[in-house]
This record gives sequence, structure tokens and C-alpha cells, in this order.
Amino acid sequence: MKTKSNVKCRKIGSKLAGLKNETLMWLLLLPTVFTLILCHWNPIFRGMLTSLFQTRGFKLVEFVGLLNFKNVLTDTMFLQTLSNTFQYVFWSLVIGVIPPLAIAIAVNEVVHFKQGFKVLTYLPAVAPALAASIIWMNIFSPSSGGMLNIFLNWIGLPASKWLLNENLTIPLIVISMTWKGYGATMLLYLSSLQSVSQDLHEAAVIDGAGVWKRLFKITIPHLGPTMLLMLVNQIIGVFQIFDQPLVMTDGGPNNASLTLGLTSYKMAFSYMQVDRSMALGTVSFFILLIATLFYFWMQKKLED
Amino acid sequence: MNRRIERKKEGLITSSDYKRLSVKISYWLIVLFLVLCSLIALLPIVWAFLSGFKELNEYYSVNPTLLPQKISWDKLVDVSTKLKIGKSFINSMILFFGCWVGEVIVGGIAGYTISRLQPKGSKLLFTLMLWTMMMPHTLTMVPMFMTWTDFPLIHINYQNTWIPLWTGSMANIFNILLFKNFFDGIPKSYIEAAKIDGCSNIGIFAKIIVPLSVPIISTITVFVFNGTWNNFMGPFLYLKDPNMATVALRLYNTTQGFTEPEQMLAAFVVMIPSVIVFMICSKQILGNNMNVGVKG
Repeated sequence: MKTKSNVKCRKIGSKLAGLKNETLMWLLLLPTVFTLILCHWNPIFRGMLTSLFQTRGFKLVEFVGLLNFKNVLTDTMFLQTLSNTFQYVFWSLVIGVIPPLAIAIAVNEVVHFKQGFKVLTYLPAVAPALAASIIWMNIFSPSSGGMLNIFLNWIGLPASKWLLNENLTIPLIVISMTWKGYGATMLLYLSSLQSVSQDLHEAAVIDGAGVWKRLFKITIPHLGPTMLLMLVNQIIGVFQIFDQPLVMTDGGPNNASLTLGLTSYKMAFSYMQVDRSMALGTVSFFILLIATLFYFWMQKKLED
Repeated sequence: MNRRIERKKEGLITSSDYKRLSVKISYWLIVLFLVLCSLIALLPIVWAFLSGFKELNEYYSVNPTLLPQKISWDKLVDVSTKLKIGKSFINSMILFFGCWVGEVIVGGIAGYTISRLQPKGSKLLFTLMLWTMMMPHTLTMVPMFMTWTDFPLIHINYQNTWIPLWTGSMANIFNILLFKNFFDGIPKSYIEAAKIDGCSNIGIFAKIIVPLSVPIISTITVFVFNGTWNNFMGPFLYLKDPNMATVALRLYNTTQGFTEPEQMLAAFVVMIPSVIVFMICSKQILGNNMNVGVKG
């Protein structure tokens, strides 16, 4: 009898100790859980809630239902910024997809000065984005001291307006983004390239396949899944572009480089239309959410 | 020169291919391509340096030149004073150390808890964190600003304090993920051996895990440095007091009130620490491929 109760006591004791341990462990996670709620979930809920209210300053005044959405979506500006944002995505696909791939394959190929090439081509990725934007803004400057205008002057052509030209401003901003962003993607391609089985190449050589044939039949197909993921990742990333146009053009000329993100920012901090800003934010949130789910679906499919 | 090719074991072009003239030419074309890419990568940085030293009349002249007439040390000093480089550098470092504590210590402990201690429910938490990380960020800036300027329940305005920026760094899920992956890779036998020797949980963490984690800690330290050094939007929103302005914020403010050459030189000055840190840690950054992707 005595021993039985002893065992019971010990069981409860160890359970209690376990509980105490669990609580202690969760205490270690407490800051993370706190910031997860405060900095990730709170803004999403709060933003969506705000989009349903009328605001004065940053204070909610009155519940208005979907009125803000109606105002934002029927605004002619909305269509322009949406089309601008898609133009950014389009140009980033035209300009930004090939360079990281080509450079990664080339770096993987050379044996002379390999580490040096790797470091030099990755250098833009470590430059502060803000400094890069400022420097590119000056390279594309419409003044006679801008680098491109100096070149035009040399060949005897008149100076161009570059960033202030409505048709050029988006591709030019995308060029500066590509310069800043290709390094990270290049590293991913490089690590994927290092896992190409060398036996495959050797077998192909024995079968008499030339270099080009091996490039398109072995290397590119091996990179395929990574490329596809990077592509979707890039589309999602460029869709949220905000600070480059903010620094380089402030949305100008004539709103030609305004994006959804920048419009939402300006509505809140410049025009004091926090309610509309959040309605716009919610719309782009759901557009991106669909893209993100698609990304996950594709990742899963590629893994299988 | 060719001995290197003979020893080449990776990639498309093998040493046997290299014997053919056409392949030889294409190999050197690839090298040329990389030289060009390196030049393009360097060009804006060099350009910032060159045009930053130009006088105003030189910069806006009708027949501009590529090179400045002279490179004067005074200009560099002048721009640095205008950026209040001493004060703003200290502010950037305050931001860096606070964020370092948040991302490395808090994040590292969280990663360790999820990876090794695994209290009940931590798997669920981890899945939630992964999902949260992939959420779009279009609804972050404005609601967070509303939260920090009038904190729920206690109604305190946290502008002009470091709290919003430091706390924000703790919310960096990607680092916790990196830590967790790293700790997952430490062989269990290490920890079991220590347990048999009578080491406590805290002892294991301090004597085994921390020394083993030096590589991941230094990698994330580099990320934290780059992140805080480049961050201008956070300080722009929360640090309205000019005495708290960081280097990045000062640089952002150069877009108003600085002449174009001054802006270029300022951008160049701000770039220097990033490049130095990269040169010191290039092996870690380029060798460790976990560190890229995911964001944007």
C-alpha cells in the first residue's frame, strides 16, 4: 500500500517537474511569441480593420463597411498604379531573369580568378540599397553631369531626360534594382550548379555531345526547378516594390513610376487618408496571398 | 595557365573539350564576359567616387568629363561633417547592438528551444512562423506605425525611442529559421555524451552549443549589420529627433538639400563600411548558401 502511493506520488512529482520544465521552455520562447503577435499578426488584423473604418489622422472614427474599397477601386489612379506595378514586373522579367543565370554559369565555368569574379560580381548585393538608388539616380540624371548624358554628349547626341521620361522611368528603375538584386539569386544558382553530377557530363562527352548540347540538355534542366521558384519569388518581390521609386523618382514624372506600395505609403503619410491606404494595402495583400499560395503549391509539386 | 584547365573537374567544359580551338575561344569569351560583368558591378561605385569629387560648375558644365579635375580630401571631410558622421555612426551602432541582441541572442535561444528542447506545441508554433514569414508585407508599415505611436492599452508614444526598431528585429523569423536549421544539424551524440557526463541543460548550451555555433552567429551578425546599416525607413518613421538620426537616415535626407556631387560622395562614404564588412566576411557570405532567397 505504502509503496503504491509512493509510486503515485513520484509520478505526479515527475509530471509536475515536466510541467515546470515545459513552462520554463515556453518562457524562452516568450519574446518570440510576443513579437510574432505584435509585429506580424497585429498589423495584418489592424490594417484590415482600419480599411473598414473612416479615419481622422491615425484614429478610427466610424465604421463605413466597404466604402473605402469602393473609393480606392473606382479611383482612376488605382488602375494606373496597378498597371505600373505590372509594368515593373514585366520589365523585371525582361531585364532581371537572365543576368544571374548567365553569371552563375560563367562563374562556375572559369578556373582563372574564380574567387575574384565571385566576389566582384556579388559586390552590388552588399551595397546599401539606399546608396545604390542614389547613385543610379545620378547616373540616370537628366542634368548634363549624369553619366549617361556624358556618354550621349561624347557621341554628339542631345541630353536625354532619362528618369524624368515617362516611358523610360520604369525600365531604368528596374535596371538599378537588377544591379542590386542579381547577386543573391546568382548565389542560389551557383549552389545548385555545384550539385550537377559530373558523371552525367562525362557520360555525355563519351556519347559525343558538344558543350552547347550539354548546356541545354544537362545544366539548364538541372537548374529548371530553382529557376521557376526564383521567377515566382521575383514576381512577388517586385510586386511589393516601394523604396526604389520612393528614393529615385518619388512616383514621378506624372505618377508614371507610382506603385501600389508607394501609393499606399503616400496616402497614409502624405495625404492623411489612412483608411484608403489600408484598403489599398488589403487589396494588394490578397493579390499577393494568391501568388504566394501558388508559389507554395509549385514548390511542393517540384519537390515531388 | 593551361595546367589549371587540365585540373578542372567541374562544369561544362572539360579538359578534353579544351583541346578544340572553338571551345578554347569560347572559354576565353566567358572570361571576357565575367570581366565585363565585374566592371558593370563596379561601375556605379567608381562613378560615385569620381563624380562625387567634381566641383559644381564642373558637374553641370556643357562639356562634362568623366574624371574630376582633382580629388581633394577636403571634400570627403566636408561631406562627412554634413552627414554628422560621428554622431550618426554612434546612433547606427546603438541600433545595431540592440538589434544584434534581439536577433542573435533572443533569436538563437528561440531557435535552440524549437530545435532541441521542443516543448509541447513548439512544432505548431514553428509551422505558424513559417506561414507568417511568407505573408505579404503590404499591411505592415502603416499599422505598425499606428501601434508604436499609440501603443494599445497603455497609450504610450514610442517615437524617438529605440524600442520599435529593436523589438522589430526580434520579429525576424528568417534568422530563427537559420538558427533552428543549424542546431538541427548538430549531432545528437554530442549532447548525449555531455548528459552522461552530468552536464546540465544550461551547461550543454553554454559549453557545447555556443562554441559550435560561432559560424552561424557570425553569419547572422553580418546580416544584422547590413540590415541595420541599410535601414532608412524605420529610423525615418520612428526617430524624428535629429540627435538620434542614423547614417542611413542622414543619407536619405541628402536627397533634399545636398547637391548632386555631394549626394554621390555621401552614398560612397556610406558604402565603405558595407564593403569592408563584406571583404572581411566574404568567405562566410559566399560559402554559406542558406543565407539568400526567401525575402523579396
